[in-house]
Amino acid sequence: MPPLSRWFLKAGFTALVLALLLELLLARPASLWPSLPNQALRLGGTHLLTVGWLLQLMTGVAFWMFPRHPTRPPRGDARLGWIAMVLLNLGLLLRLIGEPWRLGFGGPAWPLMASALLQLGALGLIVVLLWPRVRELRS
Amino acid sequence: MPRLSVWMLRLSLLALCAAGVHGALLLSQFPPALALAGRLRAVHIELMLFGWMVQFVLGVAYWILPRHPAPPERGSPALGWTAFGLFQTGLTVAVAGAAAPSGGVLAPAGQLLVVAALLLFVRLLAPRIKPFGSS
Repeated sequence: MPPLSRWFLKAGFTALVLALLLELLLARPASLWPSLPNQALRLGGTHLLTVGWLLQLMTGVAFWMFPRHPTRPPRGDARLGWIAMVLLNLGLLLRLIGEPWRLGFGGPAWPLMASALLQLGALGLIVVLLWPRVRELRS
Repeated sequence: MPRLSVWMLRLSLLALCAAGVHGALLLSQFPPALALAGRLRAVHIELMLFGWMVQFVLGVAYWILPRHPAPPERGSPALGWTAFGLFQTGLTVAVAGAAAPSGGVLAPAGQLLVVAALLLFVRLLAPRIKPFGSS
């Protein structure tokens, strides 16, 4: 398994653990940290599961297993994948901080805007990386 | 990779892009997007869940599950393409229903077609869930 896939999978499982911790936080007694905005925690948990875990798991496995190019580099330019992984996880982190801040404490919108741009950039790079490897192979 | 998987995986990547744009508009708190938040969210969820995740997983499964020992190795191509057509039609109708100001019957009709397509995919893929090398 190439290093990029390993890191995508490890980051994905880290996101899964964080999502489960957020679910635990949502199940806390009402008297514990009542000012924490549950709506933001729920949205953060959902996106940790779908973007943080599933998207990174699927990208990592696809980068590893999709048909390789006949010419070098066989899996495409891995640098695109590394940049995508950094952008995606920075975007998720900004969202996890920015959304409770905004919804619970009237924080600014810029962390959410930056998070949106970072995640969108990451998605674009993932598509650019994987698209050429989705091709017919004669078995 | 068989042609059906190529089509499903490429369409799933396009759906990921479209879902990402909708999600980014929602997350960015861009005022015109906030006015349409309900519809944007419905389209975002439909595209992310069915257009991207379900379609990607089915496309990979059709490619990679153990093949039958005799042709057609991956099961009936006609069944596969019928399921594919039904899935794309259902997804398009469901997304149109989610995007429309008053979706009416479009969204449930689309989801019904998607469910029918998924049942066909199950029919196609279930016999291939077996140990490698077994008939």
